[in-house]
This record gives sequence, C-alpha cells and structure tokens, in this order.
Amino acid sequence: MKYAIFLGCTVAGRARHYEMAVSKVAERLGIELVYLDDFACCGFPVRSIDFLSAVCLAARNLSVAEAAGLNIATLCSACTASLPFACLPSAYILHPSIFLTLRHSYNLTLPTISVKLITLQQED
Amino acid sequence: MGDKNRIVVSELDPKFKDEIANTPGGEHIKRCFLCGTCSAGCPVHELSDEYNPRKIIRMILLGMRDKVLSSDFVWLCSTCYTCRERCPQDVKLSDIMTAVRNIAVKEGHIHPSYLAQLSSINTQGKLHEIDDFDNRRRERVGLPPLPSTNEDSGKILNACGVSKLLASQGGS
Repeated sequence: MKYAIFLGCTVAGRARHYEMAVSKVAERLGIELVYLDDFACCGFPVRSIDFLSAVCLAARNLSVAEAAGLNIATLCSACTASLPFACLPSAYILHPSIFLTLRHSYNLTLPTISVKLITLQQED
Repeated sequence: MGDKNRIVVSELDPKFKDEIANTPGGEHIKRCFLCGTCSAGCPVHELSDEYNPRKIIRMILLGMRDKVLSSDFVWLCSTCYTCRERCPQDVKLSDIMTAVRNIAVKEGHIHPSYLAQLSSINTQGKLHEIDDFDNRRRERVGLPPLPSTNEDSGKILNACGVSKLLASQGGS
C-alpha cells in the first residue's frame, strides 16, 4: 500500500513525535508513505474567514495527490475534515482563476478536477 | 435588566437567519429548538460566559444582526465539534459559526488572530514556518526535510480576493 502523507501545518511544525510514531507504525504495517513537496495548508484555518478560499486550498491539495496518482493519508483531524470540503457542491462554483492556477501548476483539466470532486462526493 | 439588555424589535433584521441559511455551513440554522445541549457540553462556555452557543443561535434567529457580527464571541468557538456531535437537531453549530464569521469578515469585522493566520498562509502556505532549524531537527530523528514555502496558497488567496484583507486591515 502506498499513500501520500499529508502533514498539514501543526504536525510538521509542532508535533514531530507524532510523525515519527506514524512512520514506525506504517513501516510495521507495510504502508509506504510518500512525501509530496507541493502539499500546503489544508484550508481549515482560513475557513472562518472565507469558505471559498478554504475549499480552493483543499482542492489544490487533492489535485497535487491526483497528479502523483496517490491517495492521501492525513494525520491531523482538521486536515482530515477539511480536505473533503472540496467535495461539497459549493466547490463546483470555483473562481475561474483558481482553476487556471490548478491547471497550469498541475497540468489538470477542468473536467478532471470536477470529476474528481464529484467521485469523492459519491463515495462519501 | 437595564436598557442595555433590552431588545428593540424595530432594530432587528428578520432576514438575518435566511442570510445565514444561504451561506455555506449555515443551512441548518432554523432546525434549532434551543434545547441547550450545545452550551452544556461546550468547553469554551465552561471557561467563559461570554461564549454561549445557545444564546448566539437565539440572537441569530431573533435577527440581532449587527450585535452578532460585530461581537468578539463569534470568534471564540474552537471548532471542537462537541456541539455538532451531540445536537439532537443536527444544527451543525460549528459550521454555523463558520458562516457567521464569513459574513462578519465581509462586513469588515475580523479577529486579529485570524488575520495573523491568514498572513502566514498567504506568505508561506503553512501556519507554522518550517525553517532550516526545523529541518535539521527533522533530519536528526530520521524524517525527510520539508519545503519552507508554497507560493500557490498565496495565489489562491489572491484569486479569492482574501489577500486584500491583509492590505486593507494592516495585518501582521
């Protein structure tokens, strides 16, 4: 099994011990954790300020994992709850320039992103 | 009760609850029957009477728009989800607080701590900075190094029109 490990902000900066424990457990369970340099904030901290921004930040992270062809394993409860926010119906009304950012940076087409979001929603 | 606590009906905005219901997260606001389960379990309410979830919902339903949006207490919810977990009516209070805050930000009210978080994410793509010092410590315990910045996050915030909050409010 192979997963893209999503550390988020807190685990990476403030909870190294947790990450160390996770890598040991994953090793024992035979799970390979891949670090993707392009992962950034999951979007949770800005949700209070602007919901759309949070959804876009989450969608960007999903796109990063999609470009690498991997599913995501999160360690933090806020990230776990925040990433699927990109699957909510309101995510379909993304700002065009955000789609452009996602498209240029990760070479994803607009339909790919939408289909990905819809699939995630149905699985939910 | 002094005049301060009097609620003047003519000053209320009866459409405030609809505004909340039409904002992402606030959809279930009208389900609340004010049982108080949220306030009973709220860890923030236990520490401070200033934050009282049931009272906030009541204020929203009554239409006390200005008072709710300009208040400090809407920023106190720690999003622990205890209320959301226990609510018999599935009001999703944590998400309602998100909706209220989103509207408050549009009206020009934002708590400085949230502005500081926004600033970090805007510049480095993360809340807590990962610098060389952190990466040396990571290396020592056998963890791979992490990049210190991510420029896309700032681009996305800019495209959503959120970055301008930092400029207009002089965020630190």
